[in-house]
Amino acid sequence: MNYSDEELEKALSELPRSIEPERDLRRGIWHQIDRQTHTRARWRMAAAAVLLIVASSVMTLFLSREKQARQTAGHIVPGNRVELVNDNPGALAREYSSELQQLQEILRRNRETLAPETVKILEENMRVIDKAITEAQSALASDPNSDMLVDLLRSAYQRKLELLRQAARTSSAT
Amino acid sequence: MIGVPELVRRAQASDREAFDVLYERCVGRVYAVCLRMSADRSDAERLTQDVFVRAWQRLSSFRGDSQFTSWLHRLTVNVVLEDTRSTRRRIARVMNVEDPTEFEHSGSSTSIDDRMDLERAIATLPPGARHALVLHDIEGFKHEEIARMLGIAVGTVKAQLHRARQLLRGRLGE
Repeated sequence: MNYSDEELEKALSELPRSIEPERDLRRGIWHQIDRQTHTRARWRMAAAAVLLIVASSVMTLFLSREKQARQTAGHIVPGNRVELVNDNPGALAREYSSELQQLQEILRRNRETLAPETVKILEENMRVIDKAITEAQSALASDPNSDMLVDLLRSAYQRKLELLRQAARTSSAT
Repeated sequence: MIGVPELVRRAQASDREAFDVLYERCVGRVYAVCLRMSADRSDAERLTQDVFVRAWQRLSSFRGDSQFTSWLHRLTVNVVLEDTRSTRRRIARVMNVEDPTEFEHSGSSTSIDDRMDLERAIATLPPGARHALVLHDIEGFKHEEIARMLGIAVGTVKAQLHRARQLLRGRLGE
């Protein structure tokens, strides 16, 4: 068929705007989405792990220095040594919260016994660890069956507990 | 029937069923653009999947200032053009649709045979000319918009369009 300019314009404008694919593409779409979500969760997990390592290393160094500087015999803070074994993120948080509150109360009472610089770094590092916990929780929401993420979350809680215990011991050693 | 804005709101809250319904309502339009721009059925399916994966990931950035279908339409064109730029595999590609009924659709005054001839002829156009023609004469974008999307001058778009129409008329008259 020979088209004039007008006929060609009309024919083009009349082409259907919608063409259905021959097969349902949703399976492939959800597969890609799930795969990419999983990959993102792994990256978040890696980022959270790095944050944890950096935060806890820095804090341990500072608290050790402060303790040495005092050269006093400290007493161990009585605390319920929670061993976190639950795999459920909500249950992990509940198990953790009791000892956390206790340690934070001790730190609040003895805060003035710590050097301002140590308090500042302690607070900064707690924020970093809290961020790691939030990242792990967020990744778990996307990938709830990941054992690695549960381990990371447990590890983050454990790190926070250890740092708070150490800080509480140092602050109480007066 | 649930409206598109409500489906979008639900999908933004990670409701997969709502997103499935959005897929059902929009896939024809997305696939048509992908098929005509890529001139290859398997590429069109892959690109359609990519569009919906990207849409799911970016739904949170959709604020409802424009219609969802317009937003998705632009996203589709961007995905196709990005793919073209990144792969450079579609130079002078000839239509790979073995089944000529691929383009069969009712609802137009142009006869099915004429329309299929037209679709096939479009598919044989060089990529630059084809993109300009599909975006302008079928999808209704303005010269300036196409120039921005393709990263070329407005004059070049007009030249590509002129060339595309000339080639089309020639091929349809053979």
